[in-house]
Amino acid sequence: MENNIKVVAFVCNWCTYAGADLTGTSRIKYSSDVKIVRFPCTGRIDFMLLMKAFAEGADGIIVSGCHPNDCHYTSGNFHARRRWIVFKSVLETFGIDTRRIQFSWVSAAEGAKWAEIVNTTVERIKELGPYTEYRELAGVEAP
Amino acid sequence: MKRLHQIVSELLASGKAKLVIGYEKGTGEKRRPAFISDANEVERLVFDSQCSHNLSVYLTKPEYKHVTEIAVFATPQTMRAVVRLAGENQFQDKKLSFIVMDQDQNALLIEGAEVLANHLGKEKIALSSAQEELLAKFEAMSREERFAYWKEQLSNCVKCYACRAACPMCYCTRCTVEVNQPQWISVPSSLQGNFEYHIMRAMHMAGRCVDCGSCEAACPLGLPLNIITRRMIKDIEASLGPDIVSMDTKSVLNTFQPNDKENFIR
Ligand code: SF4
Ligand code: SF4
Ligand code: FES
Repeated sequence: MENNIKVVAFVCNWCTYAGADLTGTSRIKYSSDVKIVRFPCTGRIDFMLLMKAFAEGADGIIVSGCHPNDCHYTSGNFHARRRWIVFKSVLETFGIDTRRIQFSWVSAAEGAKWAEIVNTTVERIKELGPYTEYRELAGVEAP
Repeated sequence: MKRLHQIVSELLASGKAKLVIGYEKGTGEKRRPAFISDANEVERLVFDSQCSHNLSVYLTKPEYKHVTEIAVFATPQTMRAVVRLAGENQFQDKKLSFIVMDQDQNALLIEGAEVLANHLGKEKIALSSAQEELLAKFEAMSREERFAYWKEQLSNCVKCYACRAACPMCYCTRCTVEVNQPQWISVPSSLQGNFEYHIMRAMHMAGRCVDCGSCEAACPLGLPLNIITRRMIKDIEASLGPDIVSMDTKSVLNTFQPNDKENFIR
């Protein structure tokens, strides 16, 4: 089992980031293998940022925001949900390992859910090991 | 051809078209795009089953921005692209006419994209048997095999961007591949950059691709780009509903339903 893994979490400011804050203030312990990046909204999380995260060393990615109907900007997460549906399909065509991406809705009140999402994702990524398969593409010249 | 030449001559004479984008004889049996604005050159034009370029790609090019009245030879693939482009408000300052072939191979004049939309058949674009076979083979692959497959295919991609240039739906004047702050896509052809480019191209085509096959046909290295667009369309239809080419359908990523279904968000 590989222990040196990096999971990066792209979260929206208004729900999941606040939820993660609650996890801390509730003194719930969770894996420190996750690095959180805060966005205004899930609607702002461009799919290319996920590709760059994998390229730059992420072994797993969490993308999380407000539950449907709770987006601070009304519809950012509805748009994001569609984008993720299509993105997942496109990644699967290319054989990118989508088990390494966890999408979730975590509200500002769900501190415990956040800890559980992070822990299970980190566990899964540890089982899968580092995502060298994708990073190694960087060294290959083409054609 | 007589009827065809007559239609074009009349369009040019009446001023309904200042430019005609059609086909002419190319090397061997091949046909190539022809651009005609002089009635004396009408004889050059041909329109038969050998004509395959999707000519709608020229309508959004900056070179033709200043030409308002344009007539275009339209294959079924071209028609699909035109209707979707019109739906994306790309022709607001244009007066377009189209020349299509009816079932009996007679040239038919259609004026305006709205009218063209009514002529659009509901049937999908058929794949060649070789494409069908490859797609079936691909569908049977595991995740690891798909990754290996694209590693091999994309290591041939020279990033010439012909697939982008040939695509009628790719009309942004400033493309992400040319942005260098930040540099989203590496300039030299590298395997990771090629994955990123093709994933990005697919995402930007989501719900917009008309399945015309121009990208694959344009690729000098023969990459099976059709697999990417076909699979994406299939998955979008399965999860977000039928992919209808019409003037008023919004592209899937331009809109949403509050009850869109998925099974992977926790
Ligand atoms: S991506 Fe390819 S098949 Fe789709 S519209 Fe563009 S050129 Fe046609
Ligand atoms: S046309 Fe072919 S070689 Fe050129 S960029 Fe597209 S896939 Fe690569
Ligand atoms: S603000 Fe949280 S998803 Fe839009």
